[in-house]
Amino acid sequence: MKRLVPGLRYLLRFALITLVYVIAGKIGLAFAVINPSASAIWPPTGIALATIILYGLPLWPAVLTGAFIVNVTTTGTPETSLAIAVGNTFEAVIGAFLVFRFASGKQLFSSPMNVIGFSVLAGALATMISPTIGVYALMRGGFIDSRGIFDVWMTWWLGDMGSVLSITPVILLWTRNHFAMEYKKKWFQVVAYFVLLYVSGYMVFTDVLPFPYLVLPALLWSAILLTQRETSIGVLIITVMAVVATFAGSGPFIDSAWDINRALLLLQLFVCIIAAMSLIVSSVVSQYRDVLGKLLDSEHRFRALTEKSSGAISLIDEAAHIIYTSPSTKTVLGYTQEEFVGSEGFSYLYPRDITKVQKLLASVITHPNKPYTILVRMKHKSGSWLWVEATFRNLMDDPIVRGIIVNYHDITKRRELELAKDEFLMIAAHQLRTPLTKMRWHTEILLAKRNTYPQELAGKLKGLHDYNTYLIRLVNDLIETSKVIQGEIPLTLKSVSPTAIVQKQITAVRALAQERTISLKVNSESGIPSIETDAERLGDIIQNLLTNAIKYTPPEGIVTVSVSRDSYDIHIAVQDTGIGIPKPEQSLLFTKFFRTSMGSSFSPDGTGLGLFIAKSYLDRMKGTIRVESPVETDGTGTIMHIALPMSAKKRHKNAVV
Amino acid sequence: MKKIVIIEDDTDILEVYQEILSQLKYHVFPATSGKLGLQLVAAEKPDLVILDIIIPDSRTRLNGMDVLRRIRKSKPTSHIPVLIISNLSTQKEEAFRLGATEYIEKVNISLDDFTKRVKKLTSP
Repeated sequence: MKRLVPGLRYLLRFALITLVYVIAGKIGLAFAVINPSASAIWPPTGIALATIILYGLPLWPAVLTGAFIVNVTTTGTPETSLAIAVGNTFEAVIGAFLVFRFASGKQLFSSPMNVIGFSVLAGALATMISPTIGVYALMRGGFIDSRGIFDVWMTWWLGDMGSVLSITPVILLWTRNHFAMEYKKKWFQVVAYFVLLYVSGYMVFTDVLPFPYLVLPALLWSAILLTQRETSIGVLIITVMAVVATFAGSGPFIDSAWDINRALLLLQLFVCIIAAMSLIVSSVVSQYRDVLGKLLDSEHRFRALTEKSSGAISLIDEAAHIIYTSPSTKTVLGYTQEEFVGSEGFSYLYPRDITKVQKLLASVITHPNKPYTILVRMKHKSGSWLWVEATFRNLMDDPIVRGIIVNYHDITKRRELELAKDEFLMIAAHQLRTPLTKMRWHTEILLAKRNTYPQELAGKLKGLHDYNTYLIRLVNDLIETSKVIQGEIPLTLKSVSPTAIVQKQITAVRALAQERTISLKVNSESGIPSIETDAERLGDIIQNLLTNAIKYTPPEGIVTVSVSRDSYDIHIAVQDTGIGIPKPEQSLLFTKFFRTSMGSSFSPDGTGLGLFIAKSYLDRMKGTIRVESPVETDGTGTIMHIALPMSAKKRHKNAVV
Repeated sequence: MKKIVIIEDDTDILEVYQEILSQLKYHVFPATSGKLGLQLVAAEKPDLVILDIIIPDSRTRLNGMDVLRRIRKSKPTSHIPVLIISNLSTQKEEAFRLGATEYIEKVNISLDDFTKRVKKLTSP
C-alpha cells in the first residue's frame, strides 16, 4: 500500500483487530469438536480477510499476532501456533489479493460477477491455505494422527469458507457507505424481515419444521426488497443459530445416529450455500436498482429538458414528416404531441419560407451529422406567426434515432426587437437626411460664389462641404446596412456589360483620383460577355473598391482595374499600390464598422460599412469577394477580387454538385 | 416662362428650390401641403411637378403617393412629368408604379445635378 498509515491510527487498528481476532477465535474454538484447533465455524478468518481488504497489507501483523495468541493459548507449541498463524495470515492476504485482482476490491458488492468471484476465489480457494498449512503443522507437532487428517482439513476448510461468506460481507458492507437505504421509510419492512428470519430460523433449528430451506423466504425478501447489508446480517444470524442449535443437538443436521462429523459437514455446506446464494441474489437486485435509478435519473433529466425547456425538439424524416416531438412543442407552438406527430412539417411554415427550408433540408440529408441553422416563420396553433430559429441535424445513420433532429425555439421577441431597432435606425437616418440636404445645398450655393470670398473663408467652406459629404455617406451606409440586415435587397436584374459598368465608375472617380495624383488604368480582356445582374449595385460595389483603392494609396500611385473571365465567372480585380492590409485584419475586412488600423489614420473619413455592404450585395448576387494583400512585399498594395457568375442558374447547378 | 409646381412641406428647402429655379427663369408655384399642391397643379397645368414623398397633412391625410396618384388620375394633369425628390429610399418602386417620371434621393444630389434634371424634364 502506497499510502503511509499514520502511526497512532495504525497502532489503534492493530490493537483493536488483534483483540477482536482473539475474542472471535476463542468463540470459534468453543465449537471445535474434531480437533481443538479446527473449528466448525471460525469467525477470525472472515475478520482477517475483511481487515486486509479494508485497511490493506500493512495490517497483516495484527492478523498474525491475533492468530498466534489464539493458538498458543489453546493447544500446541509456540512453533505449531506460529505455523498456524502464518497460514491464517497468508490466507487473508492471498484472499484479499484475489479479491482486488479479480473482484474489484472494495467495490466487490457492486456487481453479481464480483460477488461470485469473491465467493469462489476468497471463499472457496484461498481458504484452502490455512487448513493445509495448519493440518501439516499439527501433524508435525503430533497433535493429530494421519488417519484423521482429511476430516480435520475438511472441517477447517469449510469453517473458514463459512466464515468468509458470512462474516466478511457484514464487515465490508457495514463499513463501506454504499447502497445504504433510508430506514425511516422502510423501518416496518426491516422489522418484519428480522422477525420472519428469526421465526423461520427458530422453527427450523428447534425441529418444529426441520427443513433448512425454510430460511430462504426471509433472506430472499431481504435480498429483493432491502439491501445487501440486511441480507448479510440475516446470513450471519442464521449461521449463528444453525451452529448453536447443531451443537445443542437440535436442528435438521442432527440425525438419529448423532454423528457430529456428518452434522458439521451438513451445517457448513448449508451456511456456505445460503450465504453465497443470498449475496449473489442481493447483488443482482442492487445492481438492477442502481441501473434503474440511473436510467430514471437520466429519463427524468431528459423529460425536464424536453418538457420544461423553452425550445422544442422534433424528429422528422426526409420528407419532413414529424416522427416524434417533445412535449414542449405545446409551449413553443401550441400543438400537443398527438396533433404534431404524423403531420407534415412544411405545413407549419410561412409559405415564402418553404423553398428556403426545402433547400436546407436537401443539404441536411446529404451531410449527416452536420448542424444547419435557419430562421423561419412558423404558425402557432393560435394562428399567429412566430419567428423560429431551427437547427437541423441528420441522424439517419444512427440506428436508434433514424431521423433528422430539429431543435427549435421561438425568437419572435428577439426578432421583433431587432426589427424595431433597424426600423428606428432607418427612421433616424431619414430624419438626418433632411438637415443634411439643407446643409449640402446651402454650402453648395455659397461655394458657387467662392471666388468672391477671402481665401480663408473659402477653405473653411470647402471643409464644411467635405464633412457634410462624409455625414451623408455615413447615413446612406447606415440605411443600406440596416436594409442588408433585414434582408431587403431587392435586385433589379438586367443584362449588362461588366466592362461598361467599370468604365462608368472609372469616370465617376476620375476627379478624386486626379485630386490625389493617382493614375487609373483599365485592363480588360476582349470578349467579356454581358451578364444578368443588378447594374446599380455592381456599380456601387466597384465604386466603393475604387474609392478605397484611391484613398489608401499614397500620391503618384496607380490603381488598376482588370476584367477577365473563365468558364463560369467574370472576374473584376481592383489593384492599388497602397498601404496594404495586415494579414490578421483581412478576415475582418467585410464585417460591419471594421476599419483597418492603418486605414483609420490614413483616411479618417471612411464609414467602415462599404465593404460589408459590398459583400452583402455580392452574396445576394451569388458572387464572391476576397482580398489579397501581401503587405510584406512593397508596392503591391492590395488587390480586391470580385467574381460574378455569368449565369446564376449554371452556378447554382455547380454548387450543388 | 415655364411653370413648376413644387410640393414640399419643408419651407427651408422650398426656399432653396425657389431661389435656384427663379434664377433659371422658371415660374415657381410653391405649395406646403398636398391639398394646396393639387389645386395649383389643376389650376396652372405646370410643365413639371416636383413632389416630396412625406407631406404630413393631418387634415387631409394626403401623402406624396396620394398626390401623385391623383395627378395621374385626373385627365388634364396626367401627362405632366412628376419628379419625386425625397429622402425616403423605400418607396421608389411604388412611386414608379404610380407613374413617377423620375425619383431622386434628395440628399444624394447636388444642386448642379438637380438643375440639370429639371432642365431635362422641362425641355420638350
